[in-house]
Amino acid sequence: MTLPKTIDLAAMKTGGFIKQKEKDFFALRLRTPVGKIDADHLEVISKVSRKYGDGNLHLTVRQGIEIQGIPFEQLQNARDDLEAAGVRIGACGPRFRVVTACPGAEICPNGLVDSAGLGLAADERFYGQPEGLELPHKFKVTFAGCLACCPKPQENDVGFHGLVEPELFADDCNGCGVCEVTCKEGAIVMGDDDLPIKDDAKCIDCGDCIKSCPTDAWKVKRVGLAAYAGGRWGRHPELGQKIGEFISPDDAMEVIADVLRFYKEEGKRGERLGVTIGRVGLDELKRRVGK
Amino acid sequence: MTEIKADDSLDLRGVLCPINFVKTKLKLEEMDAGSHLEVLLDDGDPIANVPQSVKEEGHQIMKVGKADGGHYRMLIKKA
Repeated sequence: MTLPKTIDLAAMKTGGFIKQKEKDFFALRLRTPVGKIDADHLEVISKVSRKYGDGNLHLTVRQGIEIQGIPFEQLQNARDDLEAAGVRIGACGPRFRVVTACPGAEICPNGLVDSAGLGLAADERFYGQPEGLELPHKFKVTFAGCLACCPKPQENDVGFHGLVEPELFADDCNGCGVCEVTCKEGAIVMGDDDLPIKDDAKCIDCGDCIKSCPTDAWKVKRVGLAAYAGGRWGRHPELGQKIGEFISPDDAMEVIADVLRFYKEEGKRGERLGVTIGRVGLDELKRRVGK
Repeated sequence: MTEIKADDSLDLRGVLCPINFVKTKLKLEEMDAGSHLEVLLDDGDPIANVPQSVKEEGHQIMKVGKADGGHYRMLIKKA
């Protein structure tokens, strides 16, 4: 196979081109952080698929789109058409990957934090930037708006979910007991004085009591993010371990930066973060995060 | 405090989420602002979800109390 002169090999190396089984055909991976896609972009993607590909699009498990069936000699043209319209190209390989997230507090009634906004901020800061390049292996990050953890933060190299600590304002409580029924953790029981008593050891800071309280007696004491590191899927799945709680949105970006630095310094080539943590120790990672 | 008398009522026992909320919402739409609706809800998901949704719609929950048979009685004031 001869390389067309127009192909930008340097650009190819940054990833996004996935070789298909069929000879000389590639799928083109797009950069669609947090799975949020502009409807106009979707039309451009559709046109490019019909013009250069085989008319099929694949929705990836990380909220991405891959345009399938593009012949090698058309890759650059496809890329040029997409980029001219503002559609960005994704990445493969040992680097910071496109960030995923749920719609979060802006859209979802359960959302405690703006996970989508945070995901976009993380993507902007790390994707294709020196901090997120030349890593030992792939590096996946996600943001979940609440403890339902729909985008699976514990399965990512670094994952976050929203948290909210409730606080009772007894004067506003009418003793209805809805919070006791609502709490799935059994952390709230109604006392003899008809006021709820919270067991902090059982409370997981989901905020269900705040949302369900008819009189707004349960109020928000603080909101933040829990962070997990070292999660992965693949042939040896492992859940991420908690490395922090009630982290502010700004500090979440620094947590990612610190973990990336740790991974670059300690990780062996081809090793996912969880393996590095297993070798070097979770305490050592924690010691180097948030300093 | 004098007991508030409900202007209308809905028995939502055995009605699953989110149909129980939808029925509550539709009933409230027929009613005048400031009037009161009493609903009877099941334990579990219904009592955990319906008050929250009613609150989000901007209505005021005047009272929630346990009723016989593990059910809940909720008094709503239409916004």
